[in-house]
Order: sequence, then C-alpha cells, then structure tokens
Amino acid sequence: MITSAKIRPIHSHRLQAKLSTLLNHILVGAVSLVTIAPVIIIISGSLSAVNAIKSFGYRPWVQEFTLEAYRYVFLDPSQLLKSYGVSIVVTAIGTLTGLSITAMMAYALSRKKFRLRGLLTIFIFFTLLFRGGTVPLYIIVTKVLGLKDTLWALILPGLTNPFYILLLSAFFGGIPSEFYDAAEVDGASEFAIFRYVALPLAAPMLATIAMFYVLQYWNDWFTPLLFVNDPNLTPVQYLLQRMMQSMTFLQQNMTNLASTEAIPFPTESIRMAMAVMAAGPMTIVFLFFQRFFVRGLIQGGLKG
Amino acid sequence: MSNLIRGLNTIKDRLILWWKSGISKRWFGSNLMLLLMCLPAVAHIGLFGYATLPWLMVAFKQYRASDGLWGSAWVGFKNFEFLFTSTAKGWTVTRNTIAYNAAFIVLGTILALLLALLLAEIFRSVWSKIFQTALFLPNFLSWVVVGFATFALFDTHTGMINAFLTSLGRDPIRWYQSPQYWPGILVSLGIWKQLGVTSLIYLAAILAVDPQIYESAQLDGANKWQQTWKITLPLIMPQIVILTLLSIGRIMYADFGLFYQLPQVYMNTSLISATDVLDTFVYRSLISLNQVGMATAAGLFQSVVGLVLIVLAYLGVRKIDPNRELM
Repeated sequence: MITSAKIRPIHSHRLQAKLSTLLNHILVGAVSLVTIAPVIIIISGSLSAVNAIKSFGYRPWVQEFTLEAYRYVFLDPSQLLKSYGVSIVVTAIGTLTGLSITAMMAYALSRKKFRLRGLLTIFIFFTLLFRGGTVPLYIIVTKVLGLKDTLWALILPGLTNPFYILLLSAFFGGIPSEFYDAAEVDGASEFAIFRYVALPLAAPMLATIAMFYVLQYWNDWFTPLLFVNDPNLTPVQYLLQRMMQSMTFLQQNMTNLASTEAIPFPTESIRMAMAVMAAGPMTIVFLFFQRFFVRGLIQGGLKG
Repeated sequence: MSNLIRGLNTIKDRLILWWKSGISKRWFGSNLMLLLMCLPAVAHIGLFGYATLPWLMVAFKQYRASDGLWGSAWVGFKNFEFLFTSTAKGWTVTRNTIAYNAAFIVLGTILALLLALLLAEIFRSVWSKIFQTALFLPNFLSWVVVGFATFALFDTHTGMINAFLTSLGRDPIRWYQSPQYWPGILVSLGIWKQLGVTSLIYLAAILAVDPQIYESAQLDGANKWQQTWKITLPLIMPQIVILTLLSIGRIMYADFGLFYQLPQVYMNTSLISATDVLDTFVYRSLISLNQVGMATAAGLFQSVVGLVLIVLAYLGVRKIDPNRELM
C-alpha cells in the first residue's frame, strides 16, 4: 500500500491514485471534523445571539455574533470564579501529590535490589483486576473518613492509579543501569539516585503522566457528584452538570441578575458559554501537548 | 546432629562477615529507603484498593448506617435475589452493559481499522498530522461538555437535528423522550470518543509492516484490496486480537459519564430502560433509591464477573505475545 518510488505507475494509474488520495483526505478530514465537532458547537453557540437560537435553534456556526452570553457570565462571575478556584486547587494538589507518590513508588519497584519488589507489584497489580466499586468507596469516604463536602474528598480518591505506577516503573527499569551504577559508586542514597538520576531522565514520561493527572482531576465530575453539595466546593465540570440539571441553580448563585433590564436571561447561549469555560483549559492543554502524542505513538510503531 | 551444628556455624560466620563488611548496612539502608518511598502510595492503595473490600460484605447484609458494617443484619443472597427480579431489573442492566460493550468492541474495531488504513495511505501528506492531532481531542473533553454539545444537537425545539429534519419536511423527534433511538446514539458517541486513540494504535501497527512485502506483492500483480486483505490485516492481527481481548476483559464495566450525562437520565427517566448500565444502576440504587445492599450486590457481581473475564483476557494476551513485544 505504501508505494515504492522505484515502481513507476502509468498515467491512468496515476490519475486513479490521485483521486483515491483525494477521497482519502476527504474521508479522514470528515472524521476529524466530527471529532472536534463538540468544541465547534459550543463555541458557536456561545457567540450566537440568544434570539437567533430561540428562533432557529443551534447551528454549528455563529448566528448574529454577540458577546452577551459571556457578558452575563462575567457580570457576576462569583460562582464561576469559586468553581475555577476549586478546580485549580484540586487539580494542582492532586497532580503534584499524585505524581510524587507515584514516581517514588514506581522508582522503588524498578530497583532489582528491592526485596519487596515482587510482593508490592502484585499488591498494586491486583487492584487493576478487582475493585470494590462505588458503594464501598462512598461508605469509606463519607462514613469512615467523614470527608463528605470537603476538598479532600475531591483530591484523595484519585491520587494513585496502579496503571501509572506500573507504566512509570517500566520506564525507570528501561533506563540503562550504568546511570544508576555510577551514582551508587559515588555513594548516593536511593532517594538521591531517584532525585538526581531517575527523575531527570524520565522527564518526558513524567510530563505525560502529569498530563493524565491534570486531565483526570480537571474533568472529574463524578467525585463531586458523589460527595459534594456545597456550592463553594463545586468544581467547574460539576457546576456545568448541575447547570444542565437546573438553570435555577445558576440563578440562585448569581446574585446580581440583570432583572432590572428587559432582556431575558439568555439561557441558551449562556449554557454554551459555560461549557466553553469548562472545556477551555483542557482544550488549551491539548493544543499545547498535542505535538508529543502523535509523534510518540507513531514513532513507537515505526521503530518496532 | 554435628552436620546441623556445622551448618548453623557456617550461617553464623556468613552473617558476621556480611554485617562487618558494611554491605549489609547499605543494603538494609537502601531497602529501608525504598520501602519508605513506597509508603504513601501503598497507604493510599491499601485504603482505597483494599480497605474498601470488606465493605463488599454489605452485599450480603441489610445495611443500616446506624448499625455500621458489623451491626447490620446478615441476609445471605437476598439482595442478589431481589437484584435479579424484574422490578429491580438486574438482568436488563447486565444485558445492556454487555450489549453496549459488544457493540463498542465490534463496531469500534472495524471503524478504527478502516480509519487506520486510510491514515496509513495518506501518512506522508501535510494534512495527516493535523488529522491525527484532531483525533486525540475527544479524550480531553469531559462527558458533561459533550453532553452540552449533544443537547444542542438533540433538543426538541432548538436542536440542530430537528432543524435539519424539518427542513426536509419531516416531523421533529422528541429525542429525550424516545428511548428507542438511544442505543444507536450512545454506541455512536461511545465509539466517537475512542475512535481516535484506537485508530492511531492500529496505525502504528500498520506502519510497522515491512514495505518490501507490499512491493513484492505489487510485482506479483496484487491490487490494493488484495494487499490489504491478504497482507496488512493478517500481519496486524495479533494487535487486533490483543486489544479486543483487553476490551472483552472489561465488558462488565461501562463508561459512567457516557451513560449518565448524554441521555441526562437524571431528568429524562423514560430513557433509563434503554440506557441503564451496571455503573449507572449502582449509582442510582445507592444515591437515589438508598438501596445500599442491592447496589453493593450489583457492584460485587460486576467486579467478580469482571475479575474472571480480565484474568482470562490477560492469559489470552500472554499466550499471543509472551515476550510483550507487541504491546
């Protein structure tokens, strides 16, 4: 299928090849468009006039460009700011803490001299196979730990992921032992080796896993759904979810409603604007990191 | 007897040598340090991965929060019996979970392969990088956000799809009140989310095939269709089988966000019959219905069957690729 340069197709074949390539591009392009469709939909909805939406419905393009939805959102941004604050704090603490304890354990598991290596690997691996599930988690967090409606309930459950630990551990194991041996000869302690040898060498993998954590925490609405009722502890995605459930939730928490004006509360476009605010950060992260995925995934295949 | 004493003496001497050499201190010290480095993660997994397990016993009890785990009365398999009656809909939910996942596996694999083949064709073009990048985006969007976009599609009055239908002269459909459409909708969206990453994994496998094989096939007169069918697919079959096995291993687990957010079942209860899966069922039984025992029973059922399937899947994968070269 990947034609070699040595073989020269004759003219009709070349035309056929060009047509099929064009068709390919169109098909794949269409799929790509479908893939990014939700972002297009919410952005165009957020920038459209609410009357246009009420009359004609949503469209995947902007109808009667206006910033009124965003103006309402930022008129009284207190709830949105609170939610952003919660999301940012949870994501930051969760990612940093989670990455640290994951990296430490992954490093320990990669060291052949570690006597408990086999036991602890199985300890972790088993949780990939069998889990307690939602109910035990709920009971433990609310009844046993008493963390209902606290920030910790949002951070704690997702701190470790056995998959990341094993992934990172394999990476550490792949580092040539000369690096470790040299440090050992210099009399470095295990933690020093971890800090000065292993971590710098594993930077790309650490960045990838950090990104996984950020994604996990920022997009998490299930944990708040289970454990949080306080509007002051409502992260952005959960805010969005509750907004979908009732516009009244938003109205109750936006004290400065423009009820003095005759313009009705632009629910249709505000919905989309809020969705944009929720999806925005991760989309930006995506655009920033996207160079690495494609290359990594494909190059892995090409090498093998 | 003297052998035993000699043996013990040897051990004693070895220990003294080992201790005196100082290697032991370093070994002990570094092992201790490694252990300390493990402690936070071990504590966390110990808590959320293992300390949660005793609470699975709630599946066999009539749980009352005031009585706690141990004080609640033991009722054997009553919760399970109730779970699988027609009122509790245990079998319906299980059937839904497996059916949806089967659709994801079959259709998802076929579509991902098709897309990967197309991508392999245009791999050298400028556009392909852009396309490949776009394919990763769904993984960055939460189902809540996607739910807003699908609302813009499916809403009765303002949705794009109904606008399209009316422009064709057809009647608008009340999507959120019509359960019959949702299997199709949910399967499409579930595949949408995974299509990108899966197809890129297959793309990597396709690109790893030696181009010379294609050249010699072309010299023998094989056309593209034959090349794909007889060369590409058989050569990447191990990867396909591995991914499929891993998916089958997880067939008891559904993507909660997909089935909860998209049909907005918290508002549109008529859709529950068509869209309920084990994960949403457990959640609803716990939070809305407060049937803690039955919810735990469903969760335990899911985990136990899931365990069997996952173990079988891993064994299958080990058999195909024992040296972990492919994945």
